[in-house]
Amino acid sequence: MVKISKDLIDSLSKLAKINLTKEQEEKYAGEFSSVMGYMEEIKNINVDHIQETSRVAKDENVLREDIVKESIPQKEALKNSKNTNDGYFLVPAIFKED
Amino acid sequence: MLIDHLIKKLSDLLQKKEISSVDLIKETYLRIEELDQSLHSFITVKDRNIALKEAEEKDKNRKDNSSIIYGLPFAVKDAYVTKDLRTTAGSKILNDYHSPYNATVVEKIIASGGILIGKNNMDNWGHGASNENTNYEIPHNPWDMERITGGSSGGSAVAVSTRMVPFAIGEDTGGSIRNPSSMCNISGLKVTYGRVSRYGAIAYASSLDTVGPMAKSVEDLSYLLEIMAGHDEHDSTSSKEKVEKYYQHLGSSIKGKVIGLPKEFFGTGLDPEIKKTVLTATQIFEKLGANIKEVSLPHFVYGISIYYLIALSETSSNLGRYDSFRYGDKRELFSNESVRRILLGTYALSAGYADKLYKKAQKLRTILIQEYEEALKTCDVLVSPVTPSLPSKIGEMISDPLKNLLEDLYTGTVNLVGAPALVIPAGFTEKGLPVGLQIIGKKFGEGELFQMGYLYQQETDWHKKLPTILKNK
Repeated sequence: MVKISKDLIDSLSKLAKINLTKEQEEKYAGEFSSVMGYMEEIKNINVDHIQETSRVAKDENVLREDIVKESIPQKEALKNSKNTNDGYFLVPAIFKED
Repeated sequence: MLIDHLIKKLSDLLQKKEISSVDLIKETYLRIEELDQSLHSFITVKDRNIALKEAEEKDKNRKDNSSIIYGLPFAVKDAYVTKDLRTTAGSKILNDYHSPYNATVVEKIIASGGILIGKNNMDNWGHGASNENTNYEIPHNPWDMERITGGSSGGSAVAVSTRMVPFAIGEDTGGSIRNPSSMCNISGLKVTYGRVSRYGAIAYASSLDTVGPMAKSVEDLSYLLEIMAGHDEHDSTSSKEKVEKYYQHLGSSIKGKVIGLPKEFFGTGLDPEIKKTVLTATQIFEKLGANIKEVSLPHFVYGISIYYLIALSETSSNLGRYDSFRYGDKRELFSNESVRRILLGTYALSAGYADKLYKKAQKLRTILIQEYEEALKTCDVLVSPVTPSLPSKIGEMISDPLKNLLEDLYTGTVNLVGAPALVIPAGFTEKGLPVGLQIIGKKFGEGELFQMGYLYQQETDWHKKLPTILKNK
């Protein structure tokens, strides 16, 4: 069985932006191992020269005319946000001041 | 009760003014009040007075050429955004989310005169095959209250099975319409990818998600698909393929049709009672003149791994949008099942593993597509079980993440291929649990699936059986 470490779970949760408690990390590491152990069965199948399929819809490069159409009013677009100011969404600061 | 009638009959009675839309709405709310306290098929129900007002308008404005669903109540899985009712996707993250627009499928049903009654319970984000992974009350199977409904469209299956509504709209990414349809004894359709617009369907895995109808019979499904299907400028993957008058396929003979039984679908892990029921059902098709043939899909055994590596990669990306700034609550409110799925997807896409896992799964997807195509060259349709197990007791599956994933064994690969699949009731176990049957077709071959399913329902009456909870009413 694949051994999944708590460190790996920790780094994945950072990538996925979900804060986990130590207990959760432990729990997920265990469950992860059983599921990945099952899925890694595909690792040894030879698929050289096979094209990848990312989609099953037939149409490609679906384009439309670039015409301005009526859209959702700003008030409607903002109504589900818990934190807005002057017509904008408020988000945490990304850059730190020196 | 009136809602026990099929759509055509209801429409005829309404047109002749023998019944009114108001009568139907009253019945719907009566059933919901009587049953849903214990079944929990709805997360949100519309205010009764608003629905009654809509019905009055329908009764007043009815015309000779009104749609067959004009004035009928309906429900949708809470995965579809709606303007008038909140949309949760089964998750507390969206507990108070109110969409500024309606999903295309909701718009289309409403434009044809359907009256939206409420939003059905589901595994949050579609993550589950039992509906236990909801952040709201866990729904119960009306055939055995201790058991799961199947999922993720469990609430919609219960609402139709107990005749709270004549039909509902579900969503199927890896079996989410078919699995609960089978477990609750109703008819459900997973459409060809692109047949129905996904606009306004909360995304689970975008290359696999499909929008389909759930109803009491194949005949009803055929009417609904015609209304729902078609190209939509808001969904670039929606197809321009002609929308048929699907009911025209009903009643024509299936003499000489070749039905393939993929031998890998009847292997280890399949419950013996399900196996027996499905094989008995194939004898009915033989009696109707079809020929049965064994076929093989050699890479099917890897189907669950391929399906989940792709679905979870896509879901980890899709659920990245829940940042709690523009809408919704914080990411820590994702359920255990969803966190596990997001982390697995993140792993399969991460540097060093993407080639070995995600891309490899995409290549195997190509092989599966070829194998299905090959099998459907020599057969008209494939027939198979829907799930490997009968509905489990509530609480049993949630503690076993791998078992939950394996429930999609016979359904998940169909989404990878993009083909349509119809599920119809096919019998009951000794303990009285429903067992469904899956008919898989060629892309855009929904008409042929209806043709087969309709004739089967003329020969059998499984789909007419009602759960005991209703018989006592």
